[in-house]
Amino acid sequence: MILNNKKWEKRKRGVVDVKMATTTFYTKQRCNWIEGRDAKVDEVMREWMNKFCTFQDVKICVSTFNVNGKAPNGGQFNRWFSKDDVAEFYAVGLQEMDLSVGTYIIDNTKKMEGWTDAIHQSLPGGRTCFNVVSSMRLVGIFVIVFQSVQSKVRVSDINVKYVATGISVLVNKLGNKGGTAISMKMNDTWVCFVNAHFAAGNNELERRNQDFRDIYNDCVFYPRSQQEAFRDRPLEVPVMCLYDHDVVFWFGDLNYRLNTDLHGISNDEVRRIASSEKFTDLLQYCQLREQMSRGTVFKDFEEPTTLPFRPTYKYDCGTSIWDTSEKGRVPAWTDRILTFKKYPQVGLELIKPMESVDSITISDHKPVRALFRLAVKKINENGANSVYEEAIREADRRANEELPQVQLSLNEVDFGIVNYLEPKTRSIIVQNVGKSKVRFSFKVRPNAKNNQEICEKWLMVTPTHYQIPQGSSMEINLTVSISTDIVRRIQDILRNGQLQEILVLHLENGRDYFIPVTAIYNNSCFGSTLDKLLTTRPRKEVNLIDFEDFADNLPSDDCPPNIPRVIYRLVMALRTRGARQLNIEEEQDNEVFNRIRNALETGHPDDLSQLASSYMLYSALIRLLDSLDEPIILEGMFKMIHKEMVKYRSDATQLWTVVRSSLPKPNQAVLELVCLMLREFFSQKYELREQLSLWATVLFRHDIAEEKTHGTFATILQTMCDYAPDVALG
Amino acid sequence: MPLSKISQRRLFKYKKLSDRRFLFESDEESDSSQSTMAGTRDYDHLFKLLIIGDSGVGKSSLLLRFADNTFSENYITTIGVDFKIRTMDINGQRVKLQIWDTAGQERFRTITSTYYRGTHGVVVVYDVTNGESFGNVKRWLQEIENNCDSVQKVLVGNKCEESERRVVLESDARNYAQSMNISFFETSAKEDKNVEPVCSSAFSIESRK
Repeated sequence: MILNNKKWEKRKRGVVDVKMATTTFYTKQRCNWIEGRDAKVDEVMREWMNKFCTFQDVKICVSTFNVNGKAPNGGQFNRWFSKDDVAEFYAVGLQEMDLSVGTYIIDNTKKMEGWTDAIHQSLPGGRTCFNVVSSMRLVGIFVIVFQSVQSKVRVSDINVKYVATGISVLVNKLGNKGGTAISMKMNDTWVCFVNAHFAAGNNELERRNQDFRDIYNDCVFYPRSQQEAFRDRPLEVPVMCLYDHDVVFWFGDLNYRLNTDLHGISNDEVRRIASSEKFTDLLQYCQLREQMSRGTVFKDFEEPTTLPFRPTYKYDCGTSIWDTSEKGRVPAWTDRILTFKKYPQVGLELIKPMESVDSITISDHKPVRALFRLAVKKINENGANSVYEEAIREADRRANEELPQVQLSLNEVDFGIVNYLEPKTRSIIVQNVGKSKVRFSFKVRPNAKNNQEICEKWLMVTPTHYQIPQGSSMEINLTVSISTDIVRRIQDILRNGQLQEILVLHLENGRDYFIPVTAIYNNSCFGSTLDKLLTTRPRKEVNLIDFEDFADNLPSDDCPPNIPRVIYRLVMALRTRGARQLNIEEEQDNEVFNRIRNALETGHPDDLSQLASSYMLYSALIRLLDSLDEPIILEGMFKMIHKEMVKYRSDATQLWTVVRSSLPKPNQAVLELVCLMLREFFSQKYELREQLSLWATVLFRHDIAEEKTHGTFATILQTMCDYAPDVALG
Repeated sequence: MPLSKISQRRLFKYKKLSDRRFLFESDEESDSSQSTMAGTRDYDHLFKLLIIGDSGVGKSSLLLRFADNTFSENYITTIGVDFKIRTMDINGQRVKLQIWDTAGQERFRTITSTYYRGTHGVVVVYDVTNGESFGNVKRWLQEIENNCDSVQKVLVGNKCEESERRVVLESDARNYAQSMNISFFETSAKEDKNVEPVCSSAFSIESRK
C-alpha cells in the first residue's frame, strides 16, 4: 500500500481515535431531525437554530505550501504561522512533499514524518500545544489537521479520502496530481479540508478544471454517525458529499496562471508589476478568477476579492527572486485558499487578510495562510426534538402558502338573456394573490365527448390557458354566442330551460375553481320550426299601446294561413322596397339585425319596409330560413325528394308536382312565396341571379361537398323561379 | 495497490454515488437515470385524502384546522376543489397527506366525482346541528361506492361544540358508522377537538394493509 498512514499515525502521540469519537456519538440522545431528509424542514430548522443550538467561535488557520520536494531537514519555520493570532485548529496542505520516483512504488514515510514534525514544531507554542487530529497523503499531496490541546471542541466522525486525477498514465494515476481530504465534525458542524494539486502548465486550464471536478466528485464520505441516524433504513444512508458539509476549505497548488500573454503583457512587465506595489492589478488576468466568473469551476466557492500578497510562484529556491531558470516562468498566484458555505447563515469569516510568507524560501513557491473564524454549532438534542414537530408544521404551512392562489372577480357568470346571433361577453379578472407565478388552464369537462372541449359550443373562453406573474392580474373573456348551428339543436342543449355550463379553472400544482355559467336563451323566431312559427303570434301584449294604433290595419293581415307571419312580413317588406334597393355589397350590421329581430318578435313595427335597408332585411330572411330546424325543401326519406328534383331539374312542371305532392303545406307555401319574390327580383335586376346558389343552399341545405355537378340545386331553383307553379302546372 | 483493485474500488464508489444528486452537467448527461433518483426523500408515504359532505358542514374548516391549525369564522362556500398538505411523523415514518376539500353543492356533484380517482381515504362530514346533512351521508357513501374501488372511509360529525343546537345524537351516528363498518369521530374544527385523529386514523388503517 502506498498510502498506509494508519500504522504510522498510531505511533504518533495525540491522535484522536476515530472509533472512540464515533462511539461517544452513539451514547448521545437521538435527534429526530436528520438533516437532508426534507429540504423545507431543514430550512426552518436552520432559521430556528438559535432555539436549539449554541455557537462557539473557533479560529481555524489554513495554510498551503508547495514544498518543491524539499525536506525540512529537521528545521522549523518560525514565521510560517503568526504568533499573535493563535488558532484552535491548523490545517496545512503540502504539495510536492515527495518527488522521488521511488515514492510511487514504495511507501516511504520518511519525508512525511519529517514534514509533519516540522509543521508541528512550527505551530505557535510548538508541538506540545497541539495534537494531530488526522492526516492524509497521496504521494506528495499531504494534508494534516492539528487541534490545540486546550480546545474544547469535540471532533468526531473523521474520514479521510484521496483522489488521484489526470489521464490514465501509470505515473499520473498514482498520485502525481490529485487531492487529499479530511472530513470531520467539529461539535455538530461538518467541516472538510481539501488539499489539491492541479495540473501544471500554462495551457492546461481545462485539465485543472477537470481536476477540480474529479476531486469534487470523488470526495464522498461515509460517516458512521449518518449510518447510525439511518440505521432503520440502511439503503437510504446518504453519502456525504462536499456540499453536505457546512464548510469546505479547499486549498492547494491549483496551478492557475495569469493570462497576461493574451493581453500582450510581457514576462518582464509582469515581473515588474508583481514586484511593485501595484501587484494586485495582475489579479484581473488570473485564470482562476476568470474561470470562476464564468461559473466553470469552483461554483459557490469564495475567495477574498483582492489577494493582498504577491504571486507565490515562481522563485529561485532559497531567495525571493523571480525564476531565473531557463524556463523563466511568469509569476502567478498558484497557491490558493477557497471556502464554501452550505447556506448563507453559516458563520464563517476571514478575520485577517490572507497572506503569503515571503521569508520562507526553501521552495520555489511561498506558503499562503489564512485565518478564519467559524461559528461551530452544538445541537441540544432535547431542544431540537422539541422544536422539530413545530418545524414540520411550519414547513407545511410555508408549503401551503406557496401553493398558487388566485382571486376571481366573479364566482359565477350570469349572462342574462341572450339572443340568436347576438354575442354577449363577460369578463372575469383573475388576480394572482399567491406567492409565486400562476399558470392556469381550463380543464376538459368530465363527460366531454370530444376530449378537447372545455365547455359547450355556445360558450367561448379566451384565453384557455396562460400564466400570471405574481401580484398581477389578467382578464378571461367568456362569450356566449348562439350561432345557427347551435340554434338548430337548442332544445337538446337547454337544461331547465337555461343554458348551463360549469367551467373548471385549474391552477398548475394547485387548486381548481368551478365557474358556473348561465344564460337564458331568448326563444325567438330564429332557431324555430315552421309549425311553431305558424302558431306563435307576435308578443303583441308587450306593445299593447303602440299596437292599438295599427291594430286594424296591418299589412301582414293578408298573410296566408300557411305562411308564418314573420316570413311573410320580411318578404313583403323586401318586395315593397324592390330589388333595385338591394345592394349585395353592403356591410352586415349586427345592431340593425337585432332591431329587425326585435321587430319580428314583438310585431312592432309590423311594417318592416322602413325599418332597415333591403340588404339587412334580405339577410335576415336568409338567416331566419337557415336557422329553421329543417330545410324548406325537405330531402325526404333516403333523400328521395332531392333525388327526384335533381332528376327533373329543368322541368318546372315536374318540379312543382314533386313539391306539391311531397312537401308539407307550409313548406310549399313558403317556397312558392320565396320563388315569387326571387322571380320579381330577377326581373327587376338581372345580376341578382347570381344569388341563386346561395338560395339553393338555404332552401335545400344540400351537402355542397357531395354535390356532383356543381350548381345542380341552383338550376332546380332557377327552373322553379322562372316558372311559377300556376304557370307550370297549368 | 494493483491497478485492477483501484478500478474496482472506483466502480463500487460510483455505484454508491448513483443515488446522489450530481453537480456537474456532464455527469447528468452520462446517466439519465440519476436524475430520477432524488438524493433525499421528503416522505415515506404519500396519501391522498378527500373530504366530502353537504355544503356548509365545515369541510374547509376541517382542512384549515388540520393543515394550518387555524380557524376562520367567515363562511366562504368552496366553489371548486382545494387542497393542502400536512406532514406527519408517525412512528418514525414520514407521512405526507394531501388533503382535498371539495365543493359540497349539489350542482357540482358530477364534477367533484371526478376527483375521487386515486384517493386513499375519504372523510364524509356532516354537521351535528343539521339533520339533513346526516341524512345525506348515505348518499355520499354511495358516491364513494360509485367512484372508488377500495378506500378507507371515516365518518365525521363536525361542529360538536354546538351542544345546544345539536340534533344528531352521537350514539345514532356511531351505531350507523358501526353498521357500515367505518370509523367515526365527532369533531370541532372551531375548538380544535378531535381533528388530528381523523387523518391519522385514515392513515393507520391504510398502513396496516
